[in-house]
Amino acid sequence: MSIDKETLTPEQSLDVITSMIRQAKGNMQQGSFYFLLWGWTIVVANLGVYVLIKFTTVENPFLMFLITIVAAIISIVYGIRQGNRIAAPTHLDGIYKWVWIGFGITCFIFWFFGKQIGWQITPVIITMCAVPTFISGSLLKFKPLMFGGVAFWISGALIFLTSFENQFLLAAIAVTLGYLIPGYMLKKSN
Amino acid sequence: MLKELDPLLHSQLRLGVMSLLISVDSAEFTWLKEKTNSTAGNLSVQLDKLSEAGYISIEKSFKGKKPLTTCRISKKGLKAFEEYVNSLKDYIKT
Repeated sequence: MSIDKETLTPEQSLDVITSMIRQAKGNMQQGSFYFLLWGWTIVVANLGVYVLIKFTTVENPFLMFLITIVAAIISIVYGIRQGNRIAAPTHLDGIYKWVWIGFGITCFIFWFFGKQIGWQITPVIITMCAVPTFISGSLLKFKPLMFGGVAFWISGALIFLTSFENQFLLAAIAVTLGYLIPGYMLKKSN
Repeated sequence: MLKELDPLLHSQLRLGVMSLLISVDSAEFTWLKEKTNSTAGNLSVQLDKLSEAGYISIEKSFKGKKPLTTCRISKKGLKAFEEYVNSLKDYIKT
C-alpha cells in the first residue's frame, strides 16, 4: 500500500478498506497450550483419584485435585506473557479469554460449594466444560474442538448415571476426548 | 445530493489505519506500521490527527523497557467510519 496519495476515488477507498480488513482477518491466534496443560492436569488428577479410591485406603484421595492450583498458576503466568506478545488482539480474542476466565470462576464456585450439590462436582463440571470448548471451536473455526464440546455434553450426562468412584475414570476419558485429542490436533494444525 | 466524504478519513493512510482498527480490539504502533507499510514518522503524524479528532485513543506505556504505543478506535471514530462507508456507497451507486 502506498501512503503518499491523499486523493482517493470511492473505488480506491473501498480497496483500502477491504485490503486492510483482510490484513487484520485471521489475526486471532490461539494455541493448544491451555488445552494440553489442563487436559493432562485433569486427566492425571482424575485417574489419580480413581486409582487411590479403588486400590488404596488413602484417607483423602481428593487432594490429587490440588495439582489444578499449579495449572492455574502456570495459566496465569503464561496468559500474562502471551497477552504482552499479541500486537493487535481482536474482539474475538477478548471473548475467547473471558469465556474461559468465566468458566474458571464458575468451576471454582462449584468446587467450593460441592457439598451443597451432593458432591456431584465431576458431572457438573464436565458438562459445563462443553460450553467454552464448543464456543472456542466455533471462534477458531476448528471442528475437532466443537466435537470435543459435544463429547463433554455426552460424557457429562453419562457421568451423572455412573457410580461415584467410576465418575473419575469417565471424567479422565471425557477430558481426553474433549481437550487432549482436539488440543494435539490444534497443535499440529498450527 | 451526495454527502461530502469526511476529509479526515479520505486519506489512504488514515483510512487504512481506521480499517485496521475496526477489525481489532487494539493495535500496537509497530503492527499498524507493518500492515500499512508506512514510515514511523508519517504514521505518527496521521495517528495524531485521528486522535485529535477523537476518532482513536492512543495509550503510551512500556513493554519491559521499550516504549509502547497502543491505538484503539473510539465510538466517535466508529460512527465516522460507518458514515464514511455509507457515503462511499452513495457515490458508487451514482
